Amino acid sequence: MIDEDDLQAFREGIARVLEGAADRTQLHAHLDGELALDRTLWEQAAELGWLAIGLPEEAGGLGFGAQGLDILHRELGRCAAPGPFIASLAAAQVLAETADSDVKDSWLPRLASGEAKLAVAARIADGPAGKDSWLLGDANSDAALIPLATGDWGLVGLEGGQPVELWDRTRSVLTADIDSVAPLAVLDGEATSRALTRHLCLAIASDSIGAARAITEITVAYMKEREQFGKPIASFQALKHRVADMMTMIVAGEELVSLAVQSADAADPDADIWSSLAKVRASDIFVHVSNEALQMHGGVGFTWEFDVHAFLMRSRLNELLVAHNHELRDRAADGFAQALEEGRQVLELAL
Amino acid sequence: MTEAIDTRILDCRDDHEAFRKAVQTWLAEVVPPDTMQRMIDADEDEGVTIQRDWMAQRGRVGLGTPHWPAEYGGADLSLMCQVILAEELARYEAPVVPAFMISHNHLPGTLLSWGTDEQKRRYLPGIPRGDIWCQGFSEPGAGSDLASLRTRADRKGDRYIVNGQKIWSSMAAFADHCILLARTDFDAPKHAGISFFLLDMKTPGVEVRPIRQINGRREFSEIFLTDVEIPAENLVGPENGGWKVAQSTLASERGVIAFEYIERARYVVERFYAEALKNDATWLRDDQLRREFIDQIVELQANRLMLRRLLSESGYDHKANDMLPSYIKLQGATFRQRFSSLLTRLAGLEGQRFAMGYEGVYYPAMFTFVTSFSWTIAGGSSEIMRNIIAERGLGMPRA
Repeated sequence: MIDEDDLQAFREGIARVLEGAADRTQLHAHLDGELALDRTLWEQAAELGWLAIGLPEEAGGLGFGAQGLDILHRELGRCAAPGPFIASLAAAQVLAETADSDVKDSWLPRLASGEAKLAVAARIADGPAGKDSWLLGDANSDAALIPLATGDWGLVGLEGGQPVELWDRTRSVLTADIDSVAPLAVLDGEATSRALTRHLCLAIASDSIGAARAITEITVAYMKEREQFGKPIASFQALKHRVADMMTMIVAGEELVSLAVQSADAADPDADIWSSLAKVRASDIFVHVSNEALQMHGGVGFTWEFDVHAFLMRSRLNELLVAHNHELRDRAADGFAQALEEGRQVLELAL
Repeated sequence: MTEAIDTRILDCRDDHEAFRKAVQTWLAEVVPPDTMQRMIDADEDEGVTIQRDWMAQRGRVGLGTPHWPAEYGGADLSLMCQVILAEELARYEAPVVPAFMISHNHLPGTLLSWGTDEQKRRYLPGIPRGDIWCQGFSEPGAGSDLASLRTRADRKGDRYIVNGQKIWSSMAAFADHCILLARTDFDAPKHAGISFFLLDMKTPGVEVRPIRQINGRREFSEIFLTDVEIPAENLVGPENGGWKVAQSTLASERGVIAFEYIERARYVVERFYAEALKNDATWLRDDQLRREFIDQIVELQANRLMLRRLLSESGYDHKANDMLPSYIKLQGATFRQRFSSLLTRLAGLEGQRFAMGYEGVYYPAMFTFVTSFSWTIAGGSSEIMRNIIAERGLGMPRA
């Protein structure tokens, strides 16, 4: 059991650092290509030990597990922070869970210190990766975790990766000629695919729900300032009710993300159901909320100078990573059916 | 001389697991498997009888009003034990007790803060014996805008003479007493001229007319008040201070009740899916319907999680959770409506055959769907919840 106060202190520490290191001006400089915020943030994260947060202590990590990663990703989501955090941190958790000890020994310390970065298949459901497959992660990643033609998964070296220009400029995706590369390590297909799906779903869910709350707060603050017809637009009931619905979704979504995180940390047999559904719900909420946020900003929301678009673009990418939300719903429905068949109380919740 | 209470369950209160086990053992003995069906088949009178019998049953093990202070016949049960009890009542499908909603929660919630010693001594002991109270707050012209109520109470010597009309009073047809709001000053601003009274429903001039509801039930009534005399000692709190008193009343709609109701929904969902799988229901082969069903499971879990946070020892009375009840109400009411609407579609044409249900039982689908409007309208409509969230929660200015 991790101490609540430690987690709280950790959350505050991250928030404080990001406030100075990834504010709106810096984010916009990054979007304009004037600042490599992805790189500077990554370096800071490495220095502050954030990259070690989820890994077990024996692998050089801090042992905060999914709970620690949840805190980090929510805070990064809040600032629409650039960087390969989701891909590399999820891959590190997967290696810690499923790889042989020599693979762990050679990779985990370097991943925990930030010396190495990993990319991952951007979609899990598509079968073996090819040269056109999208890899989520930094263009200079040391390797990528991908499904191989054999049915296993492999860690393959990356050379000559081609960045894909995305609508979401806070993320990077690349393609690479990976067929010709011999894998650096081979991992069990079934276990790796499941673990990576789970960790990516959790990370995307945390990122989405943190970002959704932040853009809602930004929007409410703007609505209190912006006056039309002689009044702040925040006083209009038609808008208040939409904002109330957004916040209600977010508060509910935060609980679902926390449930998924706890059940992953507890290695609950139904953890995959809840991580899939947390990604589905949180990314759907993020898309809806960003959409509403832009509309409520009115014309300025359509301008590059305002922040909304960074969140809007991020939400659409989040929604489509790992697997389509309808595929994840189907997976959860099957998982739920199986759990009932096996007599598990899948809906039981702790007090 | 009252019957001695079997304290075997209450004796376990300091050990939560033992308390839960004891509650389970007792429920397994006293709740017959056809309880929910009996409630569904019952008419209004029989329904109240089932509830009275059940409360007597609970009273025998000291679980009649366990959340009350011992001084007034309660058991001073901790919040955690109340939550465990609610969880198990739902799991074992014990009878729901909507008839006692006001008696168990709103009346003590009001009297313990505002009542005189005489009022507490006189009215609280009747509750464990089965007294039913109703609430006379809403009026035809005062729904969401409750403070605009116009029922008047005129002081005349040592009594008040009350005239007016109340509506949406749940279980009024069975009530022994009523907590009543009436205007005592027509010149003051609307919130400042209201007083809070305790009314004996047998007083001459009180006429109750049940309202025929769209779900086939008659739980709500109108109350007509014509020259009704209320003794001045039945005023609660100061004259013209009734609005503030009513805030304590409404705040006593504690999360434990909402918690028990949503826990009941969980078992219906679980059983519904298991049955569908067993019978290879055709809707399972429709991807779209199956996904909608999964989405509703997600909403169900979210509501249960929010309530757990509200009711956790650290969450209750926690400043950061001030707005949580409004989020829970809005999200839970929306869930009930959407879920029962989906169940109605899944039931197909056969589901349109008239079939009665009971509040809190969650089937049959069509009954639950039409009843769900009482969740989105009563107890602060969804629109009022949205106003509260935006204005109080997010500081968006009033128009």
